[in-house]
Amino acid sequence: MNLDTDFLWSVFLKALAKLPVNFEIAIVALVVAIPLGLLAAIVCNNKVPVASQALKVFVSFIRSTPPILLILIIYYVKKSLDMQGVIKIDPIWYAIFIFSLIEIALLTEVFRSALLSIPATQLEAAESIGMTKLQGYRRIVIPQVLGVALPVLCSSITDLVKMTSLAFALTVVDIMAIAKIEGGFSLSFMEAYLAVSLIYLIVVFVLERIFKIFERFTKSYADK
Amino acid sequence: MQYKNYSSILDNIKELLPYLSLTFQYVLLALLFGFIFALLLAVMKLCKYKVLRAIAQIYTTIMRCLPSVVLLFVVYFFLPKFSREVLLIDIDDVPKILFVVLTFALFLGGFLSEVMRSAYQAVSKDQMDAALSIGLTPLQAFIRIILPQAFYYAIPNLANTVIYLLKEGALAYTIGLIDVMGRAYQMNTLSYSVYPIPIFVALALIYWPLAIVIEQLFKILERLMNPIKEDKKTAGQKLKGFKAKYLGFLVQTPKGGAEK
Repeated sequence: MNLDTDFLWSVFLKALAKLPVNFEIAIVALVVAIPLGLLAAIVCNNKVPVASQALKVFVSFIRSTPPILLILIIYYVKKSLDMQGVIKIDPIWYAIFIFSLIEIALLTEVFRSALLSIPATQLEAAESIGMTKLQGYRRIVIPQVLGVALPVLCSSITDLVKMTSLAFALTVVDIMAIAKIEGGFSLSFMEAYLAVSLIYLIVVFVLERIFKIFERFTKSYADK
Repeated sequence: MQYKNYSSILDNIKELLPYLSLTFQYVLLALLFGFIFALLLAVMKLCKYKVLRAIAQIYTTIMRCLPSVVLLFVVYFFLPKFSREVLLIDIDDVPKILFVVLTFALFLGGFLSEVMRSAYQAVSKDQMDAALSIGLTPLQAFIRIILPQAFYYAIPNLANTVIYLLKEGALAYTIGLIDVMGRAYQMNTLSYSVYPIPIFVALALIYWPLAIVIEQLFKILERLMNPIKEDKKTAGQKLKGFKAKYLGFLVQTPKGGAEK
């Protein structure tokens, strides 16, 4: 069995050029999801009526449906919007939208358990020295929550990067789409997907290493 | 070809439900093979030979770094080519579920070996020493003392793995498997994408309760396996309550039982 290494290398380079697309989706989704997830977690844990129940249903729904299904639903919404000519925007925005939703749901759970690990006395102490509740959260509770949640947060970021491989279903031209296109032209799908798996392997591995180092630096903070 | 109307979510759910059996098939088969494979990897990780440990570790890292859809495609395109050109066996008409099972078994091998390793290491060493001191053989000690406790520690991770498998398994439609997701996609194509939203929402309404039920079942299992006795009792009562509440139609109460 022979492997067409020249072709593999050419797909590797072409797909690598599309890596920023995947990163863009992941980073924007994270920037949206981290504050909103934190807010949702605080709302849930404080048992704000109506909002916390609604959030629980939302989180449970997103967490138990396959991401590809949510993406397909959004894809058909996009298609009908395009056909009616309501809005025509780059499909990447739809990808960002749906990955943000998924990530908000996942991070809400992460932050919720992190919030529970911070004793309530911390907030009470902050209020006793004259801080408002908002200040208490911002200066005392949230920094600790981020410290506690960091390991899980990091692994959920790598999961998100892996999940962006599904963006091709939204007609976003990312790494996977390149493999599909190139594989389709030359009918050597195996090499095309091997090239993509190599990229993911390197990217996710490097990300994990970076997070490990990062965690070592911030570990003392989480212990306190 | 008859043009079909898929505008009713309820009808779509009815149409999709029978296809769940295939979904369950690959989930269970992948779990089975993944479990066997993971056991092997976990033993390799805990053994004293450095080379074996390194191999198992590298394998796990690779599996953790790959998105499942990518591995699915690699397996789907690699396996037929490999068997045709190297083994000289044509496997073109092998059922597609085989590729799905193989892909997820490969994945689960990596995942579950980590789960097993951490669960095994969570059981304190004293347990083994104590078991040996009262005259159990190492095998007996492992089966009777270590395994039940390790299993208890592994339950939350197992639940996550099963739900992960259910969700990622939906990607099998990309290689043309007609499971519950594949059927929804097929229905959508057959109706010329006129009713995509009712079809896919119906599918989401199937996955949602399914994942919740699996999660709850594992929670009950966790309570049942809890080594602390009191908790076990309440869990048993809760299980009874659960049975009476949701599975009442399965338990046939004998007629005239009250008189006896």
